[in-house]
Amino acid sequence: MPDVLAGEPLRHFRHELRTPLNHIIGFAGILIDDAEEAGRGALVAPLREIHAGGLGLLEAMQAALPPDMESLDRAQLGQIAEALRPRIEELLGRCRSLEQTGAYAGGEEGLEHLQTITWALGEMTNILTRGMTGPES
Amino acid sequence: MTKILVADDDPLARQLTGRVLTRAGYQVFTAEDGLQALEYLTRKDGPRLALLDWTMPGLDGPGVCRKMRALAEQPYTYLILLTSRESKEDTISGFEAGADDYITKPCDAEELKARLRAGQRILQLQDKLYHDARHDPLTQLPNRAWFLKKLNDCFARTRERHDFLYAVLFLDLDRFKCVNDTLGHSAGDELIIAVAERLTGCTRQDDAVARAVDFNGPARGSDDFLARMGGDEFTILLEDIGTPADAAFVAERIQRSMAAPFTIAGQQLEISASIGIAVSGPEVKKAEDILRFADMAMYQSKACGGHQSRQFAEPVTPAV
Repeated sequence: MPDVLAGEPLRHFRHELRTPLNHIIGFAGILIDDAEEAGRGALVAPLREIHAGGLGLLEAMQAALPPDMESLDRAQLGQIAEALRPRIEELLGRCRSLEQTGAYAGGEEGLEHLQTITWALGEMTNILTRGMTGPES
Repeated sequence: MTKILVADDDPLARQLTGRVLTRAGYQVFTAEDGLQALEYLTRKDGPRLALLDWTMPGLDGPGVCRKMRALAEQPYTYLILLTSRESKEDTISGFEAGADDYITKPCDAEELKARLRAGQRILQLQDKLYHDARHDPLTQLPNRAWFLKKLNDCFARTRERHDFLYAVLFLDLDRFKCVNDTLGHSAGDELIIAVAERLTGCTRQDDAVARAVDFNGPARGSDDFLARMGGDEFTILLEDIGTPADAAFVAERIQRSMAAPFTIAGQQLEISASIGIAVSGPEVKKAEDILRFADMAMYQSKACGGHQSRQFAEPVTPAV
């Protein structure tokens, strides 16, 4: 990673982070819909926490990396990663717990959605760790 | 069911958006790159709503927008860029490329659906504008502008196929002015509508606007066109006819259909028509020529007392 991200590389980095966030929020929404439609109200609350956690991560990311930010140096990136990491870890823990206890609706498909969220959380950590890499979306 | 295209190189994003839209009642088509998206959008009955990711292999979202906007003949397609790129520069550049809307991922499902409903309203307005620009408001038949466009297309085809024969019938009601003068313009309008219905009845209706004439003859795959030129003038473009006699046959058929009286403003009116016929040939140097020839032949019918059809014959130039 270069010492300073600016211009297109910074935009790239910002929207690279948005891709997994899109998956986290979107698939959590699907899991909530499925649980509600299956009449399994007890499953909804923990899924809502994951959904809200995803939105919280988006908000935190937007605050740390506002669209008008002109550059980002390695030290700032480190601070952002440190601030986001506990939130990501917490959501990962929630997802793994649901996965282990089977507390989701939608059978195999529901499990896949949950695993997608887990994967996306891991992807966020990777992006933060390695800085600007990976395909655009 | 409204068709919508979701174009994104990320399979998870396609799955996510596709699911939201399917559950909202859309028929979802998916494309994994820009070229595939373009292929879907340019199909005859392809989706007219599209959600396009920005970065895709082959052709990016803005590239798809630019290509679509360059296609003048295409019905309007409502294009939304749905992307993780959130800078003001990207938003502006997306709109400049021809996008109608710009949504940043992650997007709220309810907001996405509301924006799509707005897009559908725009499409309905576009369709109305498109329809009104090509139709006569009184009869809902194709208007002069659309007729001339079809005529130009037809003329262009003669350059590709030398055996391609087409004809124009120019119809004018006899003594229509008397109806307006004695019964009033509302009655005149009523008569025009009734005549349009009779003429439509003389044609085979292939779709809502284009009407193919059933010759009961040797016409092959005709895609012929009845239009109101204005006032009490109607035209019919007969494409790909077998011989000039086919055009005369259609004119005869129209004359027969006009024989029964019309009931207008509570009165029985006997209305006749003068029809001019012009068939394509070497004397037609540009598309408008054949229309002018048919018009001239119609005036010859009038000059001979009306209520008849005349085929255009080029005046013989006296030898010097």
